[in-house]
Amino acid sequence: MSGTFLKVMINSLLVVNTVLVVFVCNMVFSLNRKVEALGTVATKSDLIAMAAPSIELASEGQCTRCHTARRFAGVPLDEEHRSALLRQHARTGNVPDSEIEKIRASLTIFGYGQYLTRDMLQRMALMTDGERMEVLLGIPEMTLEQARKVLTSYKMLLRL
Amino acid sequence: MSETFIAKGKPRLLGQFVLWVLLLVGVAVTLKRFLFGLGSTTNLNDSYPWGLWIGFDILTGIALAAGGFTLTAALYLWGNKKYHPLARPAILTAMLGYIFFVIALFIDLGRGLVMWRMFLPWNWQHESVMFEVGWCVATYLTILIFEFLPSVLERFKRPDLMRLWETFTPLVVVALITLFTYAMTSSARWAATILIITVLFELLQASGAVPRSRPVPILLIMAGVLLSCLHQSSLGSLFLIVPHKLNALWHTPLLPIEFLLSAIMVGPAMVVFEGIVSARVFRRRPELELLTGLAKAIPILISIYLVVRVVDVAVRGAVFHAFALSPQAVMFWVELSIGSALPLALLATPEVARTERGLFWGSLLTVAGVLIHRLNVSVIGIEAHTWQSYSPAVSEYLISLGVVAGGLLAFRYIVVHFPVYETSARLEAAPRPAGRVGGTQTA
Amino acid sequence: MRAMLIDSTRCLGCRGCQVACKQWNGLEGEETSFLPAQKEKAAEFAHRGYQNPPDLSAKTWTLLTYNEVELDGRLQWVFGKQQCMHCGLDAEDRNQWPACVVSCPVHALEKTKEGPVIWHAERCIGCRYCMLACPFHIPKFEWDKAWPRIRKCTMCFDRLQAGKAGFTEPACSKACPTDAIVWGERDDLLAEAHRRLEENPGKYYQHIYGEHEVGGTCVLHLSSVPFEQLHYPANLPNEPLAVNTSLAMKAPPYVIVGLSLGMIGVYSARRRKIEAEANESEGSRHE
Repeated sequence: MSGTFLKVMINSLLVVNTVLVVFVCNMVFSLNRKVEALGTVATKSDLIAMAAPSIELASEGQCTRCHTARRFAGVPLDEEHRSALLRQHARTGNVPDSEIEKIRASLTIFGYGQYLTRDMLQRMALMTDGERMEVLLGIPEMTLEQARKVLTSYKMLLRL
Repeated sequence: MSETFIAKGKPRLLGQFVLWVLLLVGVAVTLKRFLFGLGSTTNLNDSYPWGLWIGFDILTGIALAAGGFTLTAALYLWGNKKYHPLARPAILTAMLGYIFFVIALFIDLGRGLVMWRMFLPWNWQHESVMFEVGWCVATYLTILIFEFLPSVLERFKRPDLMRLWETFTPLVVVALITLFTYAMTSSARWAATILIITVLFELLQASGAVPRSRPVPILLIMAGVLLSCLHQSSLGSLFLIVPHKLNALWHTPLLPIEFLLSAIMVGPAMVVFEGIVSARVFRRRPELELLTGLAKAIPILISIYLVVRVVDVAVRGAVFHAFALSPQAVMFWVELSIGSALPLALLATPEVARTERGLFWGSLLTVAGVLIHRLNVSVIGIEAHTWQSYSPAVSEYLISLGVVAGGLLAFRYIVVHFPVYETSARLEAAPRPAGRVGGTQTA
Repeated sequence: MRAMLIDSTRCLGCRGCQVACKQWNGLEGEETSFLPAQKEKAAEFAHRGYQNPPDLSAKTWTLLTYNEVELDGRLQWVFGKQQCMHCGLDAEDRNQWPACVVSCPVHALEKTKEGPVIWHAERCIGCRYCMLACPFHIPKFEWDKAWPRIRKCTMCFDRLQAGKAGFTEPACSKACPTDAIVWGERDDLLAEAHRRLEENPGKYYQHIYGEHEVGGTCVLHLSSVPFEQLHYPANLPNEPLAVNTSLAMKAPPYVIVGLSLGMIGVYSARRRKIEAEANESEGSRHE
């Protein structure tokens, strides 16, 4: 009977083996797919590294090319003046239109420079919108509407 | 021609004694359950409302009674006449299986006394899987009783009643199936459709366009197959609604298909198993030739079931659960290897499948595989993620064993007092089959 | 549809809701003891010490849960209120019914058009399928009775039906001293919940539990921490659970007709073949 016993054992092990092979192949394929998808997701340090220069660019890199930081900081920051100045920039300063929006956004942020320091801005890069709103609403005399505008400006600057 | 006889073998007395003890103990514990509530005799709790009784008595019980519909389909629908001797034992097993399933259900239900409410039209609930299961089982049990009646009528030697039975059964079946269809849909259109189909078929037979099967009306057999397919798969559908609780290794939209396939697979296995065991118990010669022929179908059915299971788990991306360190993963592999791979190998090996011992183990393992699958789906695979856990209490085992013992004792009684087993001239003339046959030959 | 909004940031943990529920529904008290001291439950309930009774039961339809969480570096209690979520946003559409209503074979559980999911005692057969189906583990069973019932919160539907002005809201919502539990039209409550989330983003976890879970429920929860920390079931699908069985339940009539026709076809074909063979062999024998 040992011949038959062996035969049965081998056959049943064959079946189990086939199942295992199917399973392992399936797992390998799905893992491969997941790993490939991972490549397009940035790590936290990537985000910080990319966010910082972006904010710098809009606030300091471009502007101080043409005028000093002191002149820049002295700009009156109410809407009317700001719009007029920006139109002037568009006409005379060879500043492309896309940059105008960024300048507007960075001026908005600059208005709260006392509270939104560089450090704060970088930390806000990793927060959710809810957390960012919490930070903004913590600024004295900030209204809900104004906070929403600041948030939009900030997100524009963050765009990579 | 073959004639049926009443088994007169000397059944082992020790076995009978054990069964009676189990039955009496079971009855005593059941009394306690009815007097003091389910909490006193089970470990069931609010997080695990279903346990051993649902998993074993009900789910497995119904699966194992599938021998009835598979064999009658092969015999009467496909017309394979050589399986005739196996028909009545299969029907008896199925009928007793369902009767004792109803008893076990009554014990498990909290308010079993009002079970009949399910049949009142104003309580009909078509979206509920359990509604369909209840109706299906009730109708099928009626069909099974009708299928077994010829044995009874033969015992009391009433050929006049037999003729009455032959005439009236098709009418009863048409009425039952129409009522059943209406209950499942509340739609007069569907009920009318099936009514027309069945009546037309009867007329076709009466006119001779389609040969009529005698003495068993084919409509009875068809109703049995139909209702069996419906509720075997619905028992699987019961668990569709818990994707969040049933482990991903088992939960799939294909659950009803898997339950149906495994029921079809275990039908022949139960017939083979029952044939061999009853031969040993009643000291008859097992119909080895027939059983071997029947057993040839089992490896094919197991393969189909296995392919569906494996591909389904792989496609759904649930394979990682099979390699987790959890009791569910372990039971999954047990189900696959001991429950499917091993019986497949056993019964696919001709040297093994020809012998009595090989058939015994092959069919037993197939049955065990279905049992493990049902328990996995209903109890082991259910993860409620609360602080409670469940493992069956001793009294649960005692009541389940009592129910099984009751079924076996009833089977023995009926087989001894009613014509169920056949001898045939062909069987006597056949050469002694290989493999040991227990005991002396009966009259 | 009437609904309840439960804001756990306003909750004091006074358990007035638990008491009011027991009073109004005439529920028995349960004998309890300090949880972390009970050895079998110590590990599970270690951070939920004052919770009493430990879990919902046939006699306790709502429960205040005490959850120790770490917020801003400090250990705090955040309270949760466990009760039936009264799932489902449409009483007519069977595909949106709650899991318990869909599973009951005798229609004992019903989703009313006012919102609450109620239970008809006389119909129940005690099959406990609703207990298995509920994703929130809500229906509880009277395990110790010979004639047991399923019990759960009814959102005080009897008060709603009695319609006495000022007394239609559930007992728990009426008893709540801080209006942590508010009762009203679901759309209004949802708008209010969104408003709270937007105006105080730091105070809340930005999610309304029950807005979309299992197709939307009539009990909405707000919390200051993620809901898994309050031990509310997580990872629930956003479709009603009824969609899982609707296909299987539409199939029977098609199976009945299709299989019948199939079997008739098989039988006729096989019988013809067998009789043809029999006639042939008989014919050849006679020759």
